[in-house]
Amino acid sequence: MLEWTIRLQTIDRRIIYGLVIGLIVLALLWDFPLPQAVSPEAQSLYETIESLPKNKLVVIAADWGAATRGECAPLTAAVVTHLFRNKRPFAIIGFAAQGPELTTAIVQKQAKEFGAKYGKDWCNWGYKVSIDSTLLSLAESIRRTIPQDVEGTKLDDVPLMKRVKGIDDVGLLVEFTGSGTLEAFLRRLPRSVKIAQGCTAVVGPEQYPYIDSGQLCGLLVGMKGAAEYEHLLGIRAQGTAAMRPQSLAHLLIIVLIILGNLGMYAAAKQGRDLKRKGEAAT
Amino acid sequence: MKHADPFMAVLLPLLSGLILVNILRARRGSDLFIRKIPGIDAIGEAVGRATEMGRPILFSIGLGGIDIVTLLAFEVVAHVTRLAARYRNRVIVPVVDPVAIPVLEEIEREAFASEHRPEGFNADDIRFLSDSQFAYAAGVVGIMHREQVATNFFFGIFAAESLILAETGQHVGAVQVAGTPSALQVPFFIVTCDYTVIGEEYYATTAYISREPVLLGSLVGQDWGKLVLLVLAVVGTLLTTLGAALPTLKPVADVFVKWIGGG
Amino acid sequence: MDRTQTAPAFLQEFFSKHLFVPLHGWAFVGALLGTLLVAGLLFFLLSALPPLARRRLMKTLAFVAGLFYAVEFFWPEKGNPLTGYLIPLGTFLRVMGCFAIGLGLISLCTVHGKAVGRRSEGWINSAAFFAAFFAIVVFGFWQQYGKQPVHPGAYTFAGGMFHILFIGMYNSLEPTMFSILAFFITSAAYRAFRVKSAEASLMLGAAFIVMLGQVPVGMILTSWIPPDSGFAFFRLEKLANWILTGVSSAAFRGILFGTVIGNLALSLRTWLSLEKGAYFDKPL
Repeated sequence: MLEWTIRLQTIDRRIIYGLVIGLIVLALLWDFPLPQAVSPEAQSLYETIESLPKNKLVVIAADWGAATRGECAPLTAAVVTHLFRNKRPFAIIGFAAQGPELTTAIVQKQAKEFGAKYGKDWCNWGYKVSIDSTLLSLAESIRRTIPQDVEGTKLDDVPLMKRVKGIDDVGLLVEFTGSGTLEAFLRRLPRSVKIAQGCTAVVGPEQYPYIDSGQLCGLLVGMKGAAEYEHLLGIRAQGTAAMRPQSLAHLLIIVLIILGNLGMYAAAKQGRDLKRKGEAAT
Repeated sequence: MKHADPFMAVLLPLLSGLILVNILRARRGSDLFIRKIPGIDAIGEAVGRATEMGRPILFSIGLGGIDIVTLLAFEVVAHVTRLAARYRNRVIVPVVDPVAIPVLEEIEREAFASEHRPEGFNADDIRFLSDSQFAYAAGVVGIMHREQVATNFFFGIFAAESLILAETGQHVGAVQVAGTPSALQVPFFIVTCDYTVIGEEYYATTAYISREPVLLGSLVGQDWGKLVLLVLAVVGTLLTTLGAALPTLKPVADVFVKWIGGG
Repeated sequence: MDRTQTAPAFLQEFFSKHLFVPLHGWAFVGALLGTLLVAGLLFFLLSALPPLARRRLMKTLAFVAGLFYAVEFFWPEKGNPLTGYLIPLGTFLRVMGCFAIGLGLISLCTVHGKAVGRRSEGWINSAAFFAAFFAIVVFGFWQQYGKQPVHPGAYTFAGGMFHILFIGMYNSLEPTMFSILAFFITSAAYRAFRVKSAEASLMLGAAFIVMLGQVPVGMILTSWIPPDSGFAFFRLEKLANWILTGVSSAAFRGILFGTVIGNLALSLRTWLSLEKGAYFDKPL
């Protein structure tokens, strides 16, 4: 029995990987219900969008790519649903090459459901190189930094941009990202623009100090953030569905850590027993 | 913040002044102390281990282009390559930015020449893999398995691929030393690497290795700057905590918080 | 309200009407040739300068460039003479950034072209790069500028091929590599989280609480604690949130202080050309 317990500290990683795949597939196929709590940070973003003045523009900064699509796509989809539902006009900008395109695909799909029109309810400013200098220029003049949208239409001719003269007309900027680009927004944008973020779970812990300081008005972290926001919107989408495999995976990690420690203790006990026997023999 | 508010107008020059004063002190010959940084001390040991095993060393400078953080990584590349040249080993450097190739070739060539082993330099050891994050990670993983590297160094800007690289290094049994200013990747390096240089220790690396007075002075200046921030944090915490309990202190606490917050 | 331009009127006119304005035909050719000529002349002049003078020139340019942003930041907004130049400078930097795309492309083709030409080890992979590169470029341009589909939502041959290559292959390969992390974090956590000391047990306890609190399973485990009671803090989701926003946040803030000051020091040394090392001490 002790030998078997000692082996628990050196489980072959192929078995571990097999367990991970198995549990995730099981959770994706088996739709079991799970409760959902909402964090204060997600609640804060929800309330910010609810209370945003109708004449203020929302800017979605799509700073993610295909690699982080698993987390950033549900986050983006949830917030876009809220914006469409509340008829809040928004513009998309991206500092990652694929960001605006991937976000547009999400927006176009939802626009059909909500009957939203490009140019009237949303527009796409496109991908911009150099986040720092673009934000610096954007804070001075939106029109001079972005003279036309991604389809080549002058910004003055985009209906929703007619009442947006400058950065003071932007009420909220929500950044979706898998990297640490938040500081550029905090550095360059005036305090009149509220900033929120939807980020991957890895990036999340580093952003909490900005919630404390009031520099971020909301934070959605990873799939959990998307699930929380969907819960607030009363919908079940990708974020909620992802909670099942994530729950089982977390449980598996905890069980493996416990087993590994049991194996370590068993090995230590065996070592002590052998030492005692050796001392007794001499 | 578009322009400096009163707090920033005081703080930034103060912190900059502290750094510059200490650089001047160092240049004038003051003896400045920095504590041991185990991760950097382990570099020599790690290079030696690779040489004993007769296997090459891999040095990843991360995802950055020619920026400040990556330029610091170049200094570590130079140091590691000099040691490797001395022990007759090679250092494979996969890169993400093709602009880095000629710079790294020059650094490695000079390192081998300084150890009187110019024939040891091989330009093919500096390999441009891809500018895409995960294509780069896949390439480095392939190199680790094919070349059976004995030692890995990860110094620079890393993102999600850090765990892929470091865990693969664990699988091939390599000794690993990592250093990155990105706090997010530190947990992944700590669980997979033998030594990790955390946060601002990364910025101390060049000063530690070279003992160059300007760099040492700057390091001491940074520590003085941190003391200033610490004092501000403690004073602010005390004022707001006591201000909540004592009405006489509340106006002082409010003014302090408003001044720092810039609002 | 658009921010006030504070640059002199004649410069404003120059920036908006003559600089960064698209040119066509012979004006474009002339501008291109002129730029190449000026760049070549500058390069020749720089090469002709003695190394010490070159180094002093670089240091001066670096100092002036950094000084602009520093003065612009510290000068209050009212009457700031430099704010008006921010946008043209920002556009200039973005244009410079775009050149890097071409540079990367040229380097990729050079490196892999050499590997294929010399049939060096792994040249097949370099050939695969060219195959993938030309496939994406050809189908990408073809679907963008070629015959468009008759019905909206339909694909032409080029559009279909591009969709397969970009959405089907590239957009699938990246998240596939990213998802390897799920396996690696499991094996890394299993291997590394061993209770060998008091600090390790504290860290493990915190990790368990956060892992359970981040998923609904944690809610279920402590759902018996009434959410409005004094003990509600011990519900796993609240405990996890407190660890993230209180304990971990404080630690990250501390690391942030140090990293930011380190960055400031590094930036100061680079701005004032005080940086030392194998790269910075190289003769120009």
